[in-house]
Amino acid sequence: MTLQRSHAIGVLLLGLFGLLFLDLLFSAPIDPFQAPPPLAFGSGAQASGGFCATPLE
Amino acid sequence: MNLMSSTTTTAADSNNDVGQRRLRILLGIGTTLLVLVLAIYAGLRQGLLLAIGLGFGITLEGLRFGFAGPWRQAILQRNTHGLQAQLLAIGLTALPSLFLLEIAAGELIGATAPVGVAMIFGAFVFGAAMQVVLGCGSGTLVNAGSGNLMGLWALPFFIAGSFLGTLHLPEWHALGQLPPIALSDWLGTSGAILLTLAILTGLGWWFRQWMPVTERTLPRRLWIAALCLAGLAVLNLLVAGQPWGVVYGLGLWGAKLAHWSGMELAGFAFWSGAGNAERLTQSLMLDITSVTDFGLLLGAGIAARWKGPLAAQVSLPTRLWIVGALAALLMGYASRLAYGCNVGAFFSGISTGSLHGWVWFIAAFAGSLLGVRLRNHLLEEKR
Repeated sequence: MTLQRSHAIGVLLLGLFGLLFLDLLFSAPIDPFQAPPPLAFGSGAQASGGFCATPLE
Repeated sequence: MNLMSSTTTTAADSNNDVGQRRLRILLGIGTTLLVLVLAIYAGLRQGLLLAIGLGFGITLEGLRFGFAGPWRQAILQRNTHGLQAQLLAIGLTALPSLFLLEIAAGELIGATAPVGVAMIFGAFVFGAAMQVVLGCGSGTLVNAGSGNLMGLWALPFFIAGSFLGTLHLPEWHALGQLPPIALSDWLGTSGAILLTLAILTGLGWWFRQWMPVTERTLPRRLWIAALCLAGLAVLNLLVAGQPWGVVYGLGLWGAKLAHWSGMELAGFAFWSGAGNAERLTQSLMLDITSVTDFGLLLGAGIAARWKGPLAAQVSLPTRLWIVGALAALLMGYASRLAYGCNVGAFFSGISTGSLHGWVWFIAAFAGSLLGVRLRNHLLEEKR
């Protein structure tokens, strides 16, 4: 059976939309007015994002 | 008859060209809208991060820049063009990044992680597994995004593996590790830049010698890709405050799915830490690595479709599905132990002056030496 790459992309998009839909349902709502400044550089705030190299806290 | 056939073909080609042009316009508009919507919904920073992720995906897929494939080519064919391009991209990123980390310490952080037993073991296993899957951390996302069946199949197992890895981290760390070592702490920023660039140049020169004299010129495509990746990586650092990473986001997706399914994660050291616990409850759209990962997936898909209609793929043999799933699971798990994959540890680790980036490179390359033989043994000889 020959599968098309466009089908694979369709499945991937479906999975991503599913994940984002669940995220919308179960995660805390976003407050756009609490958004950080566009650049971390020059913001004066400590970097605090999750990262691969982050040690156990 | 020939004339008719030729006329029909020309008309069909012209229709295809028009269709392709329309698709490109739609892709351009759709992507811009997506970035704008996220910027309005979650803030300009997240919109910029999505755009940067899209840039990574478009560069990696559009200019065929990879990590696992070039290592395989270097090992099996002594073709080191891809490997040299990786070192070039890292060097181009290191120069501004190390400088920026000095002038904006705290606002910006490097990918500095400890060297340890689990880290070295994890990098070795990752290097072996990525050769079996034929895709590393970013490679799995690029492959999945561009409609590659193995990439798509590997992705959920990679996510599961990187989540499972977080659950056992304290036990693995207990095997022993040094404190995180940043070269700039030892040598100062100038010293770290000079040492990093000197090693990268020396390694690049050495890998160049692997190739016949007539084939040593690095293709233009790889120069452009290295420049684009370096530019995007520096932008990522400026916007996010941290270097480009992949695995953390995938582990978070797995953790959220487990959490939503009713699994209690508060008992695990990794997910009970303040930052990680907060990210479990907040939207994925606010997580830096998740947003760039989404962008990478979509960017790869856009670049693949931009080139023209996607080619059909033949279904894979059952053995390949099983081996691919196991290798992707291992790859995800190992990348957690290794403090990152080829992006978070190798690319970002070295370019921000972390010693663990270099150790990761050596261990993962040793793992790849095993991995290419393992893949041949598992998949090709028995076919």
